[in-house]
Order: sequence, then C-alpha cells, then structure tokens
Amino acid sequence: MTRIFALAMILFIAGVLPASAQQTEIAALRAELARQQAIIAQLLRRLDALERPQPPAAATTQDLRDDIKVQEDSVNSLREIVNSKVNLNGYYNFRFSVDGSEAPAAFQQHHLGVLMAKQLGKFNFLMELELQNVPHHAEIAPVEGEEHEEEGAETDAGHTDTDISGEGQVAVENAWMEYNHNRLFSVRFGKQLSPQYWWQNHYPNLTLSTALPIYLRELFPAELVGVMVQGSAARSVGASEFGVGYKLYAANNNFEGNSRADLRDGKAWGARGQVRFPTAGALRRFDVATDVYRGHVGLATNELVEDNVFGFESQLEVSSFLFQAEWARGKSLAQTRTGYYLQPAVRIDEDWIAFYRAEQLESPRIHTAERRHIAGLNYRPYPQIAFKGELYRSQPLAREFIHPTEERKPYNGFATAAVFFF
Amino acid sequence: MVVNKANPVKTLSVVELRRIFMKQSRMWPHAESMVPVDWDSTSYVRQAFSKYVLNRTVREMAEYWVQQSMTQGITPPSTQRSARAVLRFVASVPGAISYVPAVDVDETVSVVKVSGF
Repeated sequence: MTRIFALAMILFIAGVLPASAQQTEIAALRAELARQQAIIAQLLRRLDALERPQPPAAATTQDLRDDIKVQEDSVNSLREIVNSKVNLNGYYNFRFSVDGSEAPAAFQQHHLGVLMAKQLGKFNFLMELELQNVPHHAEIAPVEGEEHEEEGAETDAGHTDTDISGEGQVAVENAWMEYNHNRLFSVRFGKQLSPQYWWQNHYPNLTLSTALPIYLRELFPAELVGVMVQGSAARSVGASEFGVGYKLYAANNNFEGNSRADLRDGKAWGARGQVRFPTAGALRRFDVATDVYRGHVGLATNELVEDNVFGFESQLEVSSFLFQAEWARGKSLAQTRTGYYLQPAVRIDEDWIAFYRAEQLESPRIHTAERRHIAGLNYRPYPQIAFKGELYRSQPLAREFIHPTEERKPYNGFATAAVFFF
Repeated sequence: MVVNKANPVKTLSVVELRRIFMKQSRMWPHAESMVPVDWDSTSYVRQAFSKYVLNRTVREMAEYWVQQSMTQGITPPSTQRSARAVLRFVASVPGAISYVPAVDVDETVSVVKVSGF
C-alpha cells in the first residue's frame, strides 16, 4: 500500500508540475504583451502629437539678427529714396618703378583718392578728391602749351616747371551733378572725366598695368569742365541686347593755367557714339565706339590754336580672354600726332590675370616718338585689392621731327604696385 | 521674382531684370525708385541668379560694383541671408525687387514672371 501511494505521488508530481510552469509562462507572456501594448499606445500618442500642426518655434538668435538687418536695410533704402545718404569710397595706390631711363628708381605714393557720391531720386552727385604724390614721374606733367626750341636743339619736352617733385598735390578730379531723366537722356554738369574708355576707367583698381598708356595725355584731354548730355537705347536680342549710346559735350578748352585766354576764344566740344553688340555663348562683350573733340590748346604766348582729335576704341571679352584697344589722331598747327594701345589679357583663374600691352605715341608737339611693350601679372585676392607686377621696354622711333643726332636709347624697366579700394 | 505688393508690374524680360540688378534702370513705370535686393554672396540662390540672369559670376559682379562705385558713385544692391529676410525686406520697401525659391513665396509679396530665358 505504501509502495502504491509513493508511486501515485511520483506520477502526480510528474504530471502536475509541467502544467504549473506553462501557466507561469503564459502569465509572463501576457504581462509582456500588456507592457508592449502600453508602449505602442504611448508611441501612437507621440506620433499623433508630432503630426499635429506645430505652433511657431521660438526665434533663434540668427533669426533675430537677420530681422535686425532687414529693418536696417529697409530704413537705409527708404532713406536713400527719400533723403539720400552719402556713399563714401576711395582708393589707394602705391607704386615702385625702376628702369634704364634718366628717371631714378622711386617709391611713389601714387594716388590716394576719396569719392563721395549721393543719389536723390533722378539726381546724382559725385565728387572725387585725389592726392597725387609722384616724385620724378613724367606721366603727370603737363605737356601741352609748351613752346619747343628750334629744331635740333636740346629740349626738355614733357617736363615743365609744374612737375610735382614729391610734395604732392590735392586735386578735384571729379565734381559733377547729374539729372537722369530716363535711359535716353541725362545731363551732367561740372568737372568730369573725358568719355573715352580709358579715361573713364583709369582708376588703379580697374586697370591691369601700373602705368597709363603713353599716348593718353597727348590726344584727348583727360577731363573737361562743362556740360555733357548722354543717353542710350537698347533692343533685346534673345537674352542679350543690342545697344547704342551717345554723349555730347561742351566744355572749357584744355589750356591749363590760363582761363582768361580760354574765355576769349570760345569753348571746346566733343561727341561720342557707342555700339554694344549682342552677346551669346563665349562672347560676353563686344563694344565699339568713336570719339571726336574740337577745341583749342594754348601756347606759352597765351595764344590758342585749334586742336582736332578723332579716335576709335573697342572692348572685347570672349570666355576668359579680354581685349581692349584705342587709337586716336590729333591735329593742331598743321602737326599731326597719333597714338594707340592694344591690350590682350587672359584670366588665368579667379585671382590671376596676365596681360600684354603694345602702345605707341608719335607727337611732334612734344617731340616724342616712342613705342612701349608691357607684360605683366595681376593678383587680385579680392575684387578690391590688386597686386601688380610688370616688365616694360621702351623703344624710341625714328621720325622726321626728331633730329637723327639726338641721343635716344631704348631701355627696360620694372614696376610694381599695390592697390586697395575701400 | 518677387516685388512689393504696391508694385503693379507683373512681367519682366530677363534683359530688364539684368538692368535692374546692375542698376542701369532706376525707376519703375509707376515712378517708384527701384530697390534690387540680392542674397548673400555665399548663397547658392545668389550664385545661380548671377550666372543665369546677370551672365556673370558673383566674383565678376563684385568687380563690376567696384567699377561702378568708382566711375558712377553707384553702390551694389543690399543683401539678405534667407528667404524670410528677403520677403520681409521686399514687403516693407515699396520699390523693392528680389528673388526667392518658389516654395518660399508667401502672400506678403507679389510674384513677377520673367520671360526671355
């Protein structure tokens, strides 16, 4: 009996215990299921919350800075429209040159210019003050109005008593106001640069060489004091345009140092016509222009003689290649003077430009016949900053107005400059 | 392109747009001064606009503005850094014109269609 009871207990334990573990496992699984369902429900609630439209996020510091700038710019723009504000700019040009001519090597605080401009509706005003401190620099010496000594004698053409020798001079280079009626008509009064391309763009930030073309001061006058009417019209050609422009001006004669003589003998006048051809593809610019000028130049005897100048120019830009050329011929007292420059250039990359310039001047008036070649590099890390370096060679030309026994030798030179626009 | 709501202009050619952003045109037909607004020079939107509308890189335009500042006394357009800032500027200045991606345009400004591309 005892054996039978023990056997029954063993069978009971063997049969009942597994069923109890299964129940426990089922209970655990149910608990886990309930927990997962709770998590899913929580995630669904979170998802609903995220999918609902969000209230505006709080502004970040950057947003607030942007808003402040918008408000400042808005106010400035409105001020510009309503009251106008003065724009202040300027430029700085430091140059060093050394060559085989008689001019000694020199550091030159070449130019320091300050420009002030103001716009008020259809009116513009611009003023430029320029400090020129150019020791031993023949380029800025007045060359007109000189009376040359008899043929064959030693002259000092190009150098007069008014040469600046290191002390500097502050000059008003521009001072004009302009009424801009529309694209076809605007009128500008005051002291302004002559309309030829180089004179308009002669600033050191805009030129590739450190030196002006040698012919420049001997043909068209650099500046004029008078009234200029100008305008342009254009017709769309695809995404480009075909444009024509004109400039007409009347001004005082180009006679430095004697305005009374100028007043006696009437005024100078000039005109310019310009065509801008449509561009496409690699051709990015193709402009041609022609200029005429009729005025008087003064002699040292206070006499004024008639002076006529005529010129052509062109600017071309194809892909990264640039080309500029100007040619002019002037005639006064039965003497003809001519000059030109040709300047191809290539943008090597965004910061580097290489250029070459061939130029020539023949002028019996200042007893000069010269050809010059310049090859140089510009490094422009910013559009406002330029470092220039160039080599040049000057060659005297044999012409009948220069006596064959006169000693004139070719020479080579080097020039460098640093320019900052602000 | 987006302009101030008070501006009645509805279409512009790409040539007109170029003139406005190079400040060669000054006045709207309704006698309001034009106020072009650019994006910051580092933005992709500005680079694309400069290339396709002005036909110049941003760098070349910077050189253009140096030239204009010196010879004409004209300064470059003011710049903004985001679509939100551009829209707020255009909405607050009567003669303003600028450009924003289509998805950013809102009801505070008017849209101008550009032809001639």
